[in-house]
Amino acid sequence: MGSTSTKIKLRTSDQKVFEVEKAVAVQSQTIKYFYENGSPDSVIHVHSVSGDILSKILDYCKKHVNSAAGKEDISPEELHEWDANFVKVDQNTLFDLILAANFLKIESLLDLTCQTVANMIKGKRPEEIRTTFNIKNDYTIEAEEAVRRENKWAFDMLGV
Amino acid sequence: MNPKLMISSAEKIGNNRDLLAQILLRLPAKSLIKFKCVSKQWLSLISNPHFCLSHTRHQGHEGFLRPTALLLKVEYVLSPEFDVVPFKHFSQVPFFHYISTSYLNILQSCNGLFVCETQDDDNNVSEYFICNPTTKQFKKLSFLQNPIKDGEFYVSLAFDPLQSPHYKIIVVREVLENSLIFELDIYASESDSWKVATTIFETKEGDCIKFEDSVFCNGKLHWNSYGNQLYLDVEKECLQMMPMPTPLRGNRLEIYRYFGESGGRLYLAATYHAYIDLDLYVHQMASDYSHWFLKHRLNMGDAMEVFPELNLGCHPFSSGFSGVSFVGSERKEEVKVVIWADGKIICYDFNDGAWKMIHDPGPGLKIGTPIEYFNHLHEQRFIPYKYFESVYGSDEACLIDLDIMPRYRKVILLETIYNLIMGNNNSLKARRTLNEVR
Repeated sequence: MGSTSTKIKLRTSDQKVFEVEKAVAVQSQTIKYFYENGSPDSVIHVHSVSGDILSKILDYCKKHVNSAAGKEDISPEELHEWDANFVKVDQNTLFDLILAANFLKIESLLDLTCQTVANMIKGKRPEEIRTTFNIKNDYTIEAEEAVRRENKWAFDMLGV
Repeated sequence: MNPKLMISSAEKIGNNRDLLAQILLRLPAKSLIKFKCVSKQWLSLISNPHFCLSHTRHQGHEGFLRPTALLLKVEYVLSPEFDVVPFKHFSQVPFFHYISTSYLNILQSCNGLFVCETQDDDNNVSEYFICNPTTKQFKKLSFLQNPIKDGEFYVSLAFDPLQSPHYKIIVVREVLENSLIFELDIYASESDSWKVATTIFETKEGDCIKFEDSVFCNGKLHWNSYGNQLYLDVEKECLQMMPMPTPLRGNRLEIYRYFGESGGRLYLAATYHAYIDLDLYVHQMASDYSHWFLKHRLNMGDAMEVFPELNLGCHPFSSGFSGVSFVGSERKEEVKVVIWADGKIICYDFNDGAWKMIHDPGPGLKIGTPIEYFNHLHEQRFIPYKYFESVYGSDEACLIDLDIMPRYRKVILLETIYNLIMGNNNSLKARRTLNEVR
């Protein structure tokens, strides 16, 4: 099969060039689109993704392609375990991965990373959420207090 | 890594409504409620009905919503207070305090919405409404035909947000007192309109259809009965029949039955008269609706062997278990039969045929507030209502947020006893107590 050995060239925001197997690269719907609609030899510029992040993402795609193609003997539970370890990264890397997965349109990775962030933040206080996402509190003190009072039950510390 | 760059990724996500929604979709409903006060943007996203519907659909497993807790209410006791059994995590279920009544009766729980009735001090039904306690949304129902008349009047709900964002209210209304002739009125939230007397039908005395005990499953609303059972295809709005088990097993009369559903299947569990009866007969409806089959005879004695601390059958004619409900298991085919037993919540799991402890409040502690009227906790029969923690109420136009409603008077919380069957002095006594408190 010729298509499996076809390579696609990708250039990242920090000008690093990756040569990637086509089957792995087209896990990204964005790359697939550029590949199918551009000349086959041209370098695809993934301008909003850094080399470090792309390298991680390619590991993810490779693992999932190999597992789906039966090239690697890995059970669904083991793959699940691998995914869980994959997202054991610091918070900023996790956010970078979300932005990259969103830009590259890799559905399963977006699901995995968003679920990880959701698990991370679900028990936090609203103040901590503001810090995490650098959100400006645009409530007046009275308005915030009213929303809080209205939903008091959701604030018990034992919960979630 | 450059710290400025790090902040910017988080900030980019925070400012990207689509990405933010992707994360928030995966949070439990309770966290969403809490995060309403992060900012006005978060409040607007979390209150958006399209987002709420997507969130609820995201919670579905294989086409069904899983209850997050069980509300246990003592039969014949009208109160906005319930005992709560969390299924997964500790969940402080928001009760119905925001509704201005001490006499509250849940009629039905249906995929995140409750149908309730309130009663006035003379035990007359005063109002019907549907509500979602998680979001405190509620809607008072107004009927074209006056419900406070002599004939019987029953209200049910058909709602499954995984199938449709809309709901229907089904009213069964007796045409004349004791005529056994009924009419169906149907309200559709989609068009915000009533169809009155869509169907007229007569029932036989022996059928004993319990229109107050309805179960919505597979797009059909089923009413419990002892003869031929009626069910309504809610989409087509047509009535159909299916058989029901008789109230006799050999020469033993049925004492109580629990009618419910899980994962698109109908179940019925029954107990029969005996001095000490520890049997629970679990039936399941065949998928073609042709017959009920006995799935299993559960013996609570087996449960006592697994959990020796359970003291069942110690009280004549009150076996010490009730509140039976049917709940799906995670990623598994078979149902779990969840039972209140002597103050603990246990279940029989059909996947492995084992008795399991679901909720044990601890040594010496029991789930179930003792009501003064009963001599023994075992005499109180608990009625289970599934609670689905869900931020979706219905399409925005159809449920009113409490924020825009006028302030309601504070609820006086008092366990008030009201014996529906006997209508005896106890209810008078309780009402007097209530007045004294006021």
